[in-house]
Amino acid sequence: MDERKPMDNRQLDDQRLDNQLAEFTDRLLQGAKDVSLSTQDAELRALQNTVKMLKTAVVDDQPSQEVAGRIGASLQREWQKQHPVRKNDDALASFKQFLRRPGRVAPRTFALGFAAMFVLALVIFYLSPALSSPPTGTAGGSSGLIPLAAIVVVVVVGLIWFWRSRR
Amino acid sequence: MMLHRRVQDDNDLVRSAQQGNADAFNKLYERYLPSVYRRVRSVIPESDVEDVTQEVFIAVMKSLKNFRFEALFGTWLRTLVNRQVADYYRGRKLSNDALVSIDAMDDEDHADMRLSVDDGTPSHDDLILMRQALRSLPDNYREIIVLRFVDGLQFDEIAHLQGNSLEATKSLFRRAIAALQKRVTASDG
Repeated sequence: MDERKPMDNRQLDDQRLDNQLAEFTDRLLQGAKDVSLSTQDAELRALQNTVKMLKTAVVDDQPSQEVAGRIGASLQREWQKQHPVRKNDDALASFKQFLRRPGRVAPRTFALGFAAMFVLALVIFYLSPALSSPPTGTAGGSSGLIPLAAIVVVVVVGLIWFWRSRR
Repeated sequence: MMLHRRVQDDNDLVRSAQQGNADAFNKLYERYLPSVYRRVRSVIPESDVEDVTQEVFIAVMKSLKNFRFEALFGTWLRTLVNRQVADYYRGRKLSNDALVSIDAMDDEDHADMRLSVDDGTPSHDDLILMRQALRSLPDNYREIIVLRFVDGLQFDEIAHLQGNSLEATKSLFRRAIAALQKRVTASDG
């Protein structure tokens, strides 16, 4: 019975120290203003002092602006390497790329490119007198065919886009 | 509530970065640079801290597409930091304890380093000494200090993370601080 007592007291002391140091650490890290070292217990006071210094050495330690800037610049370069921006990413270039390597062009880009070219062709057709005026001697004109052709082209482009997006 | 909002914000930034948004990645970098830097600095010699910190974020950039939102981004990032630190030491073919001994200081060594005691204002030398002493601790002691001071985890969170009781965690913490104190005062004169 007597042999157990010193061990129990020691364990209790250790537990008390554990809790007091943990509580001190919590208050210090939360930014409490009234955090003072123990005046009763030299061992606890020494540990608390170490915790205070540790906070200054570790928690209050921030990378300098120069360091942050250097690392940030390196990361930017690395990001650009991993996410290259495609040059000439316009409708005509996409169409050319499609002819070379059909699988590489995004379907939407191809569809938009084709539609843009078709609209351009229509504008040229309407502006050109030789092409837009019906030939003499014909009963009607070819004007009714143009909207039909436009619809056909749009449908074809849409089907191509749909088919490619499914692949 | 604030934590939940922060977690949601992290997830939004990660998703955006995964889709190629450089600004989103930059925001993640700015948010986590201080904690990554502090964690690296607590385990790596001073001269290599910047390089290793950079390597951590490059690893984040490369691995971000594999992040599945099953854990907190901060937790995942901590794993990456530990991996980079392990790679660093593997590359140098040195163990943590062998590399950083309180007797084998690097170019931060100052001739008449003294630890201020109870004067309230640690000197620059004191802080360097403290960081070196921290690096020289055994892994389990250093880890609990880093989890509490650098990662900001509460003691109950650390207990949960390590699969220990709260009492055991607080006991480990006290022993870690005591070991740190011993190392620091051992170099004092």
